[in-house]
Amino acid sequence: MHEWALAKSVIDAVINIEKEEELPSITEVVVGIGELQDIDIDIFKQAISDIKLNTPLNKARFVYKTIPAFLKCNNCGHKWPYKKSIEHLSEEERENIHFVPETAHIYIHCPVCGSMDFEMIEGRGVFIEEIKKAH
Amino acid sequence: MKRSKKRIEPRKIYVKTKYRNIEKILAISSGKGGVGKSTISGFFSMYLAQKGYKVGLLDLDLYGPSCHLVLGANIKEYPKEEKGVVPPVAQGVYFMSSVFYTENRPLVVRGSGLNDAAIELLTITNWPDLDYLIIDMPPGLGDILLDVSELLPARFVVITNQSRISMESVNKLISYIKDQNLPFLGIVENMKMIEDNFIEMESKTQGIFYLGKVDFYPDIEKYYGNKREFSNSKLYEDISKIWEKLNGKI
Ligand SMILES: Nc1ncnc2c1ncn2[C@@H]1O[C@H](COP(=O)(O)OP(=O)(O)OP(=O)(O)O)[C@@H](O)[C@H]1O
Ligand SMILES: [Mg+2]
Ligand SMILES: [Zn+2]
Repeated sequence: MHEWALAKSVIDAVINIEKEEELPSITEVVVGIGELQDIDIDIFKQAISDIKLNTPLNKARFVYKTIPAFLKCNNCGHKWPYKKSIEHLSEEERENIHFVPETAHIYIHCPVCGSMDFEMIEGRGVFIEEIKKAH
Repeated sequence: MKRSKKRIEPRKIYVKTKYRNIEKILAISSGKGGVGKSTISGFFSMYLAQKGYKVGLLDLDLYGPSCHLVLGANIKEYPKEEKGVVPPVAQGVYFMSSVFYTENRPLVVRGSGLNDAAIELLTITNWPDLDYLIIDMPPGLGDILLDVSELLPARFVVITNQSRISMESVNKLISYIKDQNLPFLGIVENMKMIEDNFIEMESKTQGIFYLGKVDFYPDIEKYYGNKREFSNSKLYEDISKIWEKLNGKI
């Protein structure tokens, strides 16, 4: 699964940014899941539990938080929720955005001025939001 | 209890560790457009696969992806998913490109979007244990060049034509590579039409390794996606000579 690669990126990143001796004291990792990529949360959770087993994070609890996605037009400044745009998308188009979110630029236009030139200001990708430690 | 609440984007950190162990990443680059980066990337990958190596080819030219044509890859089918996406095999080469997800439509994005898409591809692709990963670089000096030099242990192979205009832009890339102390394997002269030694001399004065030339073949398209025709061609011989020189360096 493609969710598996994203889950692996989260665990590897935590392991890389924290000092090795601190890793076992991590009790909780809050993971932000951007709405834009339409990640299958159950598969993602399963992947995290499988991958963390053989790491110093095996005791850490992972908590998930959905981050709503917003787009902002670079041409006219209009800001709108991604949700509004997906109604018009076919299954295949959603699938493409699921794998490479930037393909949204192919299928979505600013609802006000029709421009393809927008930013994904919120909710693109997967993030580590918070790392909590026992001491 | 201690908490750190700074939002962290995991992909760059992950890509750095994930590719650290692929020893032989070759970035086929130029600085100049249209000199044959994609052509050489594609045929060089086919060549290595035919020699029995396990080769990956990653097309990072997201504005103008073209390696799928050289390999004759079927872009209509989604790559399968297993712990990421599995690069489909074309002509014996494990191949990944944005075209699988764009339906071959234009991706018009600003630089930051380009970087995001490239890093996504690097993140989600589940390469097998490769002997070589060939990267087809976009023309120019910009977003993707910076990502590749910052995130990957890539070694640069620079493609030029024999013209002075080509070399003018190529020299700028070479200056960057030298300035940043990036691993630099040498220069390939492509589409050679007249006998002269301008590029060879230019390499010498700059202290760059001249890896050889590929002649201009007007019928080159007949080798696209056709490893049998390719392996009996003069093009194959040119590439094989370049490989001998390159192999001595890696
Ligand atoms: N050795 C060669 N003989 C004949 N034609 C060639 C040769 N190498 C490349 N070409 C042709 O030159 C054109 C440009 O090649 P190619 O697309 O590989 O260049 P590129 O450097 O990747 O371009 P871009 O900068 O747009 O990515 C193509 O039409 C290709 O078929
Ligand atoms: Mg090209
Ligand atoms: Zn607008």
